[in-house]
Amino acid sequence: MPNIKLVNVTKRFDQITAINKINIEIKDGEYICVLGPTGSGKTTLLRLIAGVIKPDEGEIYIDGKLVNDVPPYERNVAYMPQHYSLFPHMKVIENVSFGPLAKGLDRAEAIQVSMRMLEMTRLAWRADSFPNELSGGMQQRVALARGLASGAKILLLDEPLGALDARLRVELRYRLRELARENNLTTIHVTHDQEEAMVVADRIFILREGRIEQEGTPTEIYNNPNSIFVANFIGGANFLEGFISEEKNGGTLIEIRGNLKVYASKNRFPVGDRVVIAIREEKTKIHKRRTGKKPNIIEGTVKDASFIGEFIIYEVSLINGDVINCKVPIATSKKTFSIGEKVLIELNPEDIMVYPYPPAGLYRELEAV
Amino acid sequence: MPTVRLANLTKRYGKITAIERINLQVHDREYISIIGPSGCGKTTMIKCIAGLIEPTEGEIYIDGKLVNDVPIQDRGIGYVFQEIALFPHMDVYGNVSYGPVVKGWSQEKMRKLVEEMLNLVSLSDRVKDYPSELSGGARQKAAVARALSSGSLLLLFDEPLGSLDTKVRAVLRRELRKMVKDLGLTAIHVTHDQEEAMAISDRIVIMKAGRIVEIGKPLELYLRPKNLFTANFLGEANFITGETVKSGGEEFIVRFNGKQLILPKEMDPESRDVVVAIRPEFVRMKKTGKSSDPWTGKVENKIFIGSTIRYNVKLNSGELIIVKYPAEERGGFNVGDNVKVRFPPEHVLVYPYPEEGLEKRISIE
Repeated sequence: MPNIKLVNVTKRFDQITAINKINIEIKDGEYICVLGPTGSGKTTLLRLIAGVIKPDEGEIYIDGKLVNDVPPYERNVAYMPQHYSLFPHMKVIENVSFGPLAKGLDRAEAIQVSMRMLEMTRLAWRADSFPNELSGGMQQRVALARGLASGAKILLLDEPLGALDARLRVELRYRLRELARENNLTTIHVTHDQEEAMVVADRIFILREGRIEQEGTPTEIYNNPNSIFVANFIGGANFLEGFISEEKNGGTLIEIRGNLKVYASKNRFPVGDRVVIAIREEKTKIHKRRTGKKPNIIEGTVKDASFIGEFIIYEVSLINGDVINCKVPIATSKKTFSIGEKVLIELNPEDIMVYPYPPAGLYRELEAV
Repeated sequence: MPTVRLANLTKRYGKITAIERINLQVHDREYISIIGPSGCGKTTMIKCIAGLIEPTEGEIYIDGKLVNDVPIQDRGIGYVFQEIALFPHMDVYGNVSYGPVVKGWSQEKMRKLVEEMLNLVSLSDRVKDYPSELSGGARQKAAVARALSSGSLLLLFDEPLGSLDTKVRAVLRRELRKMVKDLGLTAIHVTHDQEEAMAISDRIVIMKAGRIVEIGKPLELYLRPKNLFTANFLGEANFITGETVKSGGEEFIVRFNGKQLILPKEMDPESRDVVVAIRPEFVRMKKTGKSSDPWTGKVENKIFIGSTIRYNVKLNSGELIIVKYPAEERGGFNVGDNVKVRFPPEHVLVYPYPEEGLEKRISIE
């Protein structure tokens, strides 16, 4: 029953507080992704749980047992740091069976366990190769098999797909999720790739400057980001500055640049407050002409179009000078737009998120990723 | 008029062939990306063009002139390579003005150009900073400004955005393309990032194991890849083996997973054994009751990826099909739903079954 609990955990390095009073609970068998910008404390958090470093304050529990003073090898964890290293002079199978042998399994048993793990990572056919004969992706899978073969029920992964080409990452992330499920592991997976996190995680923790900015399922976080930082970090969005101009029909009118009024159905700020509105790029609709009577229609001109596979992203300059992106799926949308074309942008009131204007300014807040 | 032409370009290291008989024509003012899995030879190729690696065989022409024996500084190129960093002992201004200084430009002409370039990459307020004081993104921008201010009309980039976070990359790639286009330059850009290549390029060169697999415009390569490898490398696809039932005449019919599909004649590869490919976002499905129809199955898994929802559907035939829908389309499907899957013929691609086997052909390792 490997569950993990952190209570008020703090870790400082000299003047820098890398982890600041973090409280988290991870259930047995859960797959957690930890996301955050460089320097947000992701790796430190993982190392604290692995036992490679000790907290300055707070308690860490594994299976309900306080482990602050328990060394890494007695914590039932397999920790795969970002810069893992395979033994270069040993074959793949020897690398993987190193842990089981060290634990005292006899040779036949250790090989059997190791081969099973190699089968799971689809590398059994390379058992007799040396690490330098393998591609980066294969080496990463060997390291993973080695972690799994240790028999630990908690898997701590620091950018496990980091060294791989983008396309290979996509393929392996699904395999990784299956592996954790098949082996009933509790997993904490650190990544800077928000798409990867959304795909594999049961829950995501978003770290910023050593604190947890938001936690929740991928859908919760994507649909209800609680700050500009999270909205920008997960999925990205269009952000427009404005202020609350009037309450109306249970929602609110927000005045943005160029005296344009935008209606949002949700609001928690008083009239006069300076705010930022955000709307996802795929929810920012682009039209050739007006159809029916819809609120929040703004004129604009297409400035740029970039094709990125499943989607085309149109950069549109609005009449008030603001620039926004519209993300249009190629499979389901019949229309295309050309550069220079006059268009209408529709912001559905239901899809508009409203945030307080950040003290350091919007630009600074968006740079924080 | 910077054009680049590679003729039978080959580079061997002992027994290992890094690139083999590469032929490529890059047009004036074109933005070209080179992509492929690690070890495919893309970096070797761009370093040959730069003059950092000497080819074993073949010719390199810049502006129609053979440059095999011309040293890097005389090839008229600006470059941003991952391992060639900024000069650490010079501030941003010093780095960016290096090219013009070496070329002996007048103070005034130089200052004007450097200011213009720094403005383009929005680094005008950082001129006095040293590289160590800049963020990764700002350093990359300074390197780009240095390449631009060299006055070269041909730019070579090897993973110029490589060390940056996904978010910053997406912003910078757009700026990079704009600059190249606004200044009327020609650019060759090596990347491992498919999305970046598609967003930034006029044409993409796809490489595998030292050879060019395919060259084309991003949308063409994505929608109508000529090679199975391209179909897999440039975004996800479902690959299903099948056989041709009718070919060569008025009709082209393929049978896969126990059912037949009539397809446009131009897809006919005139081969008995075939591989059918279709991108997940083009597969359509609808809810249905229990059925023994082979193209009916059950939703086994549903994953939310922000703007997209990705489903795994296990067909009655045993085949696993990936299906994607835009997330905003309300309703959607749930795990356990019985669904009937449809493969719209206009989006189905058909290839002869590869001699080396399907797995090997599409392998990205």
